[in-house]
This record gives sequence, C-alpha cells and structure tokens, in this order.
Amino acid sequence: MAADRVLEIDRLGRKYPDVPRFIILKLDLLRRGARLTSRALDAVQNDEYRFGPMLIFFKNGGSKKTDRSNPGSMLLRDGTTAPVSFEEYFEDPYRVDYTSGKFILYDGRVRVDEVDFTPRPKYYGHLTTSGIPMESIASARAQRLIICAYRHCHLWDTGDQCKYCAFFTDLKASRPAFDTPLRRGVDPEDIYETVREVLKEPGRISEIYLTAGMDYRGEHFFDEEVERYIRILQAIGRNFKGRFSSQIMAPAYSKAQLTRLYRETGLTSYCPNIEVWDERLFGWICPGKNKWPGRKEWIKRTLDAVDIFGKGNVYTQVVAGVELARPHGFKTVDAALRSNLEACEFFAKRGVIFLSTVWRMNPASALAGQKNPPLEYIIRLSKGLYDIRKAYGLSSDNDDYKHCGNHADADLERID
Amino acid sequence: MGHNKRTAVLTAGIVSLLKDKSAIKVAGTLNADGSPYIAANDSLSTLDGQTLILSEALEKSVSNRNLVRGIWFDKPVSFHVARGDEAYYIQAKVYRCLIAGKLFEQMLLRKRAEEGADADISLVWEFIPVSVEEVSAKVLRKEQEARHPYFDRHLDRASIRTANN
Repeated sequence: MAADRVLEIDRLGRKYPDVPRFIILKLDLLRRGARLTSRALDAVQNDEYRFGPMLIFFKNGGSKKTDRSNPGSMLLRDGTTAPVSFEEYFEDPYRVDYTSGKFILYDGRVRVDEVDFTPRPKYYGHLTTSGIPMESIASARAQRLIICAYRHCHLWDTGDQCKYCAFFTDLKASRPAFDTPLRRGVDPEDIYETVREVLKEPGRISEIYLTAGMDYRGEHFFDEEVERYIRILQAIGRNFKGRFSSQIMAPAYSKAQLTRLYRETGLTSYCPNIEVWDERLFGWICPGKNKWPGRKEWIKRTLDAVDIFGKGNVYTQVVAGVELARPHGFKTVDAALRSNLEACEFFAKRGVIFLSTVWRMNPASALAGQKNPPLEYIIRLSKGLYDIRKAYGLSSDNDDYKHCGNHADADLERID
Repeated sequence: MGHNKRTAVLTAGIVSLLKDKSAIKVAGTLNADGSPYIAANDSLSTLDGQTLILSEALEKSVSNRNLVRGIWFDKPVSFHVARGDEAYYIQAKVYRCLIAGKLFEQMLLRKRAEEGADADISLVWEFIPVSVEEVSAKVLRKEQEARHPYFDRHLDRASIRTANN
C-alpha cells in the first residue's frame, strides 16, 4: 500500500510534469497529515524546534494534554512550507523519523525525503509586562507572525459556524497547557510588546497576520470587530515607521469600515475568505457567512476592497474539497473544478487573488467522518488557479510560500 | 526527491578560496528555455567544507528563480571561483532552500556585518558539489599541450622562434 502511494505521487508527477513533486508532496501532506515517531518527537523537545504544547486530538473529537511539544510547520527541502497537522485522527498519515541528525519523511516504509521544521522563534518563553506568555498571543511560520486577535467565533453561538470548522474547540484544552487563563480578547499592549520582542530576532518575520473568530456585533455588522482590529493594528504599528507588510483574514467589511482600517492603520492586505464559491453550497456549508452579511454582499464587499487596498492586495480563498462533501456537494471533481476555476476567473478579472487551501476533515467539525479531497483534484485545482491568476498578472505576495504556506497554487509562482 | 548523492570533495585549497571574500565567484544557472544565465555572487562559500552555500538578495532575481527551477526540476548549477592564478569550476546539485533557521540567520548576519544593519537577504541555498575541476590558465594550458602540443602556438612567439629571424 505504502509503496503504491509513493508511486501514485510519481505517477501524478509524470502526468503533471509542470507541477513540481515538492508541491504534490505538500498537497498530499496537507490531506493526510503526519505523525512523528517517538525518536523524532524527542528530537524536537528543545529550543530549536519545540512550538506549542502538544495536545492530542482523537477521532471522536476528544483531546488530551501531553507534557511534550509539537514542532512548527514542516519545511520541505525547496523551502516549501507545509503546515502539516500532527493530530491522531488522520487515518493514513506520513511518518517522520529522526536518524543520523536528520528528520526523514516516510510513507509507510518508503523513504520520501529529508524534511525540517520551522524553527522555534526566540520570543517563545517570554512574558509580556502583564504576565501573558507571548507564544499564546502570536505564533510563527517561516516568516509570518500570526496573531489571533479574538479567541471566539460568534457563529458558534447560534450553531451557524462553517461546517468544516473546528476553530476554538480546543480552547479549553489549551488553557492548562499555557498555565494561564486565555481570555477571548487580547490586550493591544500585550500584542505591541510581543511584536517588539519578535523584531529582536534577526530576519525572522517579514509579515504580520491577524485572524480571529467572527464577531458580527455592533451598530453595523462587525463594528466592534473593526474597532478591535484598528486598536490592535495601531498598537502593532508603533513598532514601525510607516505601513508594514501585513494582512488580516476577516469577514467582509463595508467600504466605510475598510476605509477606516486602511487609513487609520498600517495594514497592507485584506483577506475575506469566501470558503465555497457555489451559491447553493455556500448556504449549506457557511450558514453564518450567509447571514452576516450574506453571499452576495460578501462578494460585493470583497470587490469593493480593491478600490481601497489596490489590485492584488485583496485575497479570498476556498477550502478546497469541502465542495465535494456529502450529501449536497458536487458529485464529480470536474464539476467542483469548474466551479472553483470560474470563481478564480471572476475575482481575477476584478483584481482579487483567489487561492485554495486543502480541506482537512476535523472530528470536531460538522463534517466529521468525511473523506479528504482526492490528490489529483487538488493538483489540478492548484495548477488551474495559478494559470488563471498568472494570465491576469496577479502575484500572491502576501500569501506566498514564505508568508503563509497554505496555498500550493501560490507556491507555483516562485519561478515567475 | 531524486537528488543525486554523488559528491565531489572540496580540497583545502578550494575551501580557502570559497571563504575568501576577495575571490571572484560566479554562479551559472539555467533559464526556463535552457539558455545559460550567469551572475556574480560573492556570498558563495562553504560552512562545513563539504557543501556550498550562498544567499540570494532578491526573491525575483533571475538566478533565484532559476535555482527554484533547479531544485524543482533537477537542473544543474555551476560555479566559477577564482583568485589570482587559481580558478575552479564546480558543478553542483541544488540541495536545499532555507528561509529561516540558524544558517539563514548566520548568512543574514554576515551580510549585515559587511553592508550595515539595514542589509537584507531573501533566502539561502545549499548545494552538493558533484564535480570540481581546476581551470586556472596554467593548468588548462598544460593539459592541452600534453594532448595537442601544436595548438595555440603561433610561430612568431619569442619562446618559439630564434632571435635572428
């Protein structure tokens, strides 16, 4: 079986010769996850590699705390970031072992390649003045600092959360791991101090990324959330002389809200994710977004954002594969592909970068128990999205392999 | 991912040359259409005496894009390193691209030590040498003359003709 699977990667590599095998491997890693052997896990329990506390999540949605740490995102030899999940619930994960001072990736018993992990940032282990662990405020990928500005999604309050989503279901388990209370909101001053500390490490970060659960409260939808982001971005901005490379992944704000965000802060890029393009499936999979503010308005606001942030600085993405989910999803990958490529063309024509990320079925989500998307489908999708964006002269600079790593279609831009 | 593990030994002389900032260092890569591209890169060095390493200043330089193509599609790279009468030609495989970590930071700090605190690098590449040839003018002439003694010897040269001609 394992040997067949590597051969499947080789077979698809031959079938799609202009898609590098590193990218095909990344896509498969994102689908299938990876598990570290005991030796490999031992080798990351040090200041070079250990990231957050290791929580084990099981197929039944349960979790347990451990006294060990997981490493950060996997790095392939070509510099590709693969934000691989190391959770227990993957049925057929890759395996990472540690031998002769190197991390080696295996598919079953077959050696695939040498890999590495994103180094542990030096600000980890530091506390803010108010005593908050900085790693609870911000995490890091290869060159991106990820700040979670609000640890609650109000779509869960009414059961309107996106059906693939399990954000914040691990918050309770995370609390004892950090040995400090994790509040929903984060004090902007703590974020300011964390960024200031991050910048002491030479060459570690080249973009700051903000995300959070959706908070639609306010006189107009999202007013409270926008106020929060402005306060946080202004606090972060005290570390810089002017505008700084940054992105927020956030709901679709009104033009007035976006204008304030752009004018009152140093923000450079905005990413309201559509998640699923097909109208019928959007209503089923993203019921909350279909209410706040609704699909049509979501799209309109995404396009409006180009007037403020400029062509190529507004992004949106789909969770590739979720459009195939049972029982209402597309019946064939060709239909799913047509839908996503149509969406990419629609947005690209209007200066918006449309990206894909790979759906990883999470047992705490409403779509638990479903199958991951086929590898060949996401290879075709990645190549198709890349080709369309290239034709429109778009370059995913804020979501490239250094800054994000979720998007294989953006990785393909490295040789352009 | 198909990289060739065959390596060539870097002698002490080449290591010394690679570590000399005043040496001439040129990297040769292949463009998408197969045509050659060369660029000077004085960051080329070796840290462990076995592999080669260099930093690229720009993500979108021709060299950097060609190196990405090199590791993705198994295209060779070559280097020319020279100082005075010494010169070497090194063929290599692109082994690894580093965008974070100890080596990345080391190369960045080296650049900043040379060019000031605002200097920057985009990424760092590691290479496995697969062949090394000495290509100094003296060695090349000696090799050629051993096999082709009458090439490149115009008869009007002082070392060939007699003084009374």
